Amino acid sequence: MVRISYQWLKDLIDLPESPETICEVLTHLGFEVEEMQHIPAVPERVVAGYILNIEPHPNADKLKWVTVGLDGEVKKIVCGAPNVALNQWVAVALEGAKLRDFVVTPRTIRGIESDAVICSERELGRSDDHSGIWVLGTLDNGEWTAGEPLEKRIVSDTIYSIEVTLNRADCLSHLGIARELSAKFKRPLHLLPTPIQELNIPTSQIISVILDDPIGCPRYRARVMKDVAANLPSPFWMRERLKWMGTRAINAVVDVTNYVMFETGHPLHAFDREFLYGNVIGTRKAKPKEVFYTLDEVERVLSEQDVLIRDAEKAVALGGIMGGLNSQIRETTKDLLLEAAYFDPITIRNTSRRLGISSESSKRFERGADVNGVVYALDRATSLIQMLCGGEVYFSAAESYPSPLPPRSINLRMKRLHLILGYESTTLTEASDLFNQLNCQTTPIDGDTLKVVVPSYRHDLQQEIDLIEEVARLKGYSLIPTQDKATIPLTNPQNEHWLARMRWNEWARQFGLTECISNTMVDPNDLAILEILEGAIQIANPIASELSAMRTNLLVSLIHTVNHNLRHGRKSVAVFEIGKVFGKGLIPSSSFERWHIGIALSGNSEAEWWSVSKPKPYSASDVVGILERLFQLHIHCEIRPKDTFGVLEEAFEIFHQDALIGYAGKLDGAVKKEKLTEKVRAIAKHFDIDQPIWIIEFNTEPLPVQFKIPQYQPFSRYPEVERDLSFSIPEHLTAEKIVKTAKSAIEDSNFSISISIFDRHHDEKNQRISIGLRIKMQSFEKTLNENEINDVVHKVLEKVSTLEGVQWRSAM
Amino acid sequence: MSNLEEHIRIAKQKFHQALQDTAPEAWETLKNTFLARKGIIAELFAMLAECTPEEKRHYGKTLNELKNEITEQIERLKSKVEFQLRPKRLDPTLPGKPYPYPRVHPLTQTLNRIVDTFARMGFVVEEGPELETAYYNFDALNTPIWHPAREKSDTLYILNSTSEYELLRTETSPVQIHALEKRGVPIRIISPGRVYRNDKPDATHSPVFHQVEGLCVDEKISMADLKGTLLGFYRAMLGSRIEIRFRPHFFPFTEPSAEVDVTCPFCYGNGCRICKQSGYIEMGGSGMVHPNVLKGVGVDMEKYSGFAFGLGVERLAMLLHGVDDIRLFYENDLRFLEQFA
Repeated sequence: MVRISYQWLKDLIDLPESPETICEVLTHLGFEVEEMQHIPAVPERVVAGYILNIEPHPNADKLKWVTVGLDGEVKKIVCGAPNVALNQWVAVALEGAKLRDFVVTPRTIRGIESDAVICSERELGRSDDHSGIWVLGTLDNGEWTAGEPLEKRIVSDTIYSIEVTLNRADCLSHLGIARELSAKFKRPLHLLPTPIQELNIPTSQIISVILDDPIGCPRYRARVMKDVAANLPSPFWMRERLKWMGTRAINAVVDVTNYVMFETGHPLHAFDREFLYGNVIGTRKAKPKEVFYTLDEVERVLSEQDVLIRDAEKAVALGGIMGGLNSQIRETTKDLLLEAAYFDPITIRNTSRRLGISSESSKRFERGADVNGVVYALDRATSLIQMLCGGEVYFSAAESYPSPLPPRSINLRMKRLHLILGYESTTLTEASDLFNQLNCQTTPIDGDTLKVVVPSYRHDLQQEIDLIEEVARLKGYSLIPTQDKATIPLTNPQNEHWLARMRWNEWARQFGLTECISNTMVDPNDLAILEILEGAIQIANPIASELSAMRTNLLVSLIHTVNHNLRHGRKSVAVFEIGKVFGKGLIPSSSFERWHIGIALSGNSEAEWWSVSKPKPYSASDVVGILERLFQLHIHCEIRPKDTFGVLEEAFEIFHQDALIGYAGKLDGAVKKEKLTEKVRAIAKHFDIDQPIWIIEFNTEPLPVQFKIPQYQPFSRYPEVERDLSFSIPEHLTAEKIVKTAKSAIEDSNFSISISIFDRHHDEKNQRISIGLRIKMQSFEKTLNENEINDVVHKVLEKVSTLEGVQWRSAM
Repeated sequence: MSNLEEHIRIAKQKFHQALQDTAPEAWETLKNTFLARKGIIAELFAMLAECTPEEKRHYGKTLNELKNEITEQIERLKSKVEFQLRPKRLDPTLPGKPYPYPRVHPLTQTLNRIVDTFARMGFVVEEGPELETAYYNFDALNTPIWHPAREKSDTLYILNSTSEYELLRTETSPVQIHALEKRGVPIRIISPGRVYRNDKPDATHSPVFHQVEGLCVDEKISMADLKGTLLGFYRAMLGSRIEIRFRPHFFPFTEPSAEVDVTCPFCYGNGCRICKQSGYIEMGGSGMVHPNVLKGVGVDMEKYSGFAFGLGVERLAMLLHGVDDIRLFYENDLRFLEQFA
């Protein structure tokens, strides 16, 4: 983000366009204006005045009665500002002046007449600062004339906050933005002149530049000045501009270095020569663990990758990042050394990252400054300092630039340009003009190719494609046509994994479940209590500790989803999630990242409704019922009951081709948690679960993704006969065992026979179960007669009755 | 007998008035008044006796019509009352059985629309891992080593990382590289998926969100193809009046790069609250695949060129459904999810 002043741009290029138009132009050049702050001119009838006398207000403690000198007259004004002081230049609004919120009229304040206002910035509409009056300067520097109207000197401005993309460090300045506008408008830049009155003695005789680290700092240039009045404040216009740039004014010398950086983009540094020893300035690498105090009074521990600026004896600045405490400009400074250097971006980046310093200077060097920009920036700053603080300047500059960085030259082929942009954007001549506007030197190589030598500040122009972007950008992206047809591949089928997941989604919805999507980053404490933390992938720099592990199972997400909704007034929740899980988890897998599907059921399986007085709660039957429906997708899974699975009770393991791919079961919860077993109680307490949650989760990746096309099976056209048998069985016998046994009786039958359980009643007192078997039979050849039917029924009856403890109750 | 006509008119008027004034339960009163043996209609029929045969024919017809109308109205009243009074096994005004009403998550819905739209343009889905290496997430995408996106303040890194995974992918762009390595060129894919950023959650930021990345590499692919593809896509998603606008930008893996703005689908460019008066909404980045990216996966960058683009699924879903807080998508509150049928 860089702040740019519209008026400041106007110093560098003619801009008849309005601030709004410039904003639009910048946006379409790739510089997004995030904010445009309009600062109005000072209104008419506001004049400069100086404070002659301050008396207390006779009737109010907090008010003062201030005498202000104007053009040949004095005015006595009541003022409440805490910062009003003698000899200040202030903005005085006379009667009739239209301020931001009111028009000045004479009025009596606590018994004293006052017909003018000493203005704050807010009253003038220039900022929201209402902490005190706006101080324009002090009487000792005569930059104002008493009574002069301010509207002529304090004009309106617009401050843009611009997002400069990472590749365009050259645009972190007014000069950089002006260069862009100059290329866009084909209008010349005005580099401001740098008049300097120089002594006859060359700077190189005064000081020598020695570079011991020519990689970290390839170019160092310095000027030396003496008898400079460094204690002077900088003038109002400079302070005002620096304020809009977000920088505090310090003294004229420091302000100039900042000002020139905002103007040219090149960071500069000024040293007090009194504290430089040995007429030497230069660079060296820091020693390991070397300690250096930067001017923000912080102790920095350096490494040998850092570049230091040093004199004959000691380090005086952390190169390209921040000056040293030992040589900074102070009130007493008379002689100074002004530095303009070019630092290697990678070196500066490493140092600033490691030390955690991001300064206006490091920000520019690490993204790439202009190695050739040092000359102008140094002269501009020297000229300004001499203008503001006087002093004598030695002739020229001392410099070391042992291996000049070669200019980059890139070939641009017109054919390639047209191909990439999709239209014939320019001719060779036009492209040549366009790059000349960007300060590139161009030479046509043949009818199709242009050799382009790019300026040293354009680090982003590295290869042909970058030049193509320049053409597109300056011509305008809006000129790129819209193609309305395409050659598309006809033989690529859609990704079958994607389609399979859509099918799983559909499958889960048939049970009335709603789809959820949860954060995959979870709290490791949740995983720990669910005993699924082991083998979890953890994040080194998490956003928060509650988001520091990757979920190993959907279980944890499902619990949170159910809980959230139960806590927000739901009594029942039935949801599913199809999402990735990571690391080890409950279900063994060879991949550390895979897709699972999870289902959670809690509360009642029937919706609340007037006709259902006692809705049935979810139970193991719901879980089994859902899993049985896997056959719809032609997936044959085996569901093996288990007492527990992980932390779940009444559990099932899901096997596919003898591999464990999932589980199901109950996470118990109760309002009175004492009723639960210890482990379950701890979980219920941790998640605040007060009703059971049934969970199903399985890995979908081992399951087939291909949609199996159902194959037709012929069915009998003869009537189907149904017979029921009822048995009393001991408690330990399972339904599965009974059905299997029954089926074994009729294995050899020619009829198509199905056997199912149609009724079950548990007599807990007598520890018996009565169970009803339904036999459906049918022949493909004829209608079954009574003998045939009875034969089947008897076979089943006899076989089942052989099971120990089974009693036949009745046939229906 | 002309005043018979007048009598009929009055009788008709009287009936309609009575119909309005009488409670439905009192339908018998109406019947007695009008249709009884000595009721109003009977009286009028009696008057017919004094008429000429011609008048008889005429008024007889009118009277019969009136009688039929009255009978019909009273019958209707009667059946209505009887229906209300009849003992019933089921009150038909009771609410019906609440059948389960499963919903698809709004993000899945949006994602499906996006995938289907691009599928029609020949793009097929290609997916990749969420646990990535710096090579796929940054290096192969021409991200300079100093790029701030690599910082720990932007990217979430894995503790005890391995050669297989070092970080949580920050965009679905690494799928471009996997796909180019696997399929080669020409290629026309989109990669939807989850991405991660080191962002504190607030109304417009979520540390987890979904992106769809698109990639097309073929001979002679230009920026005009990119523009056409995105225009077609956004028109399919937001309506045929949508226009798109490209603004220069910088992304390491494309050059030239463009930010894509679409006409605000709420005000069509006139300026409104949703688009902050700009008339446009920023939808995502795009550009021509950087030659360094193609070179890195061994594609002949002289023969082939391509475009890539990315878009945020949450952003589009928020725009489509008027959702003002991104966190709602991950909270799984049924009061939210149940709104997206």
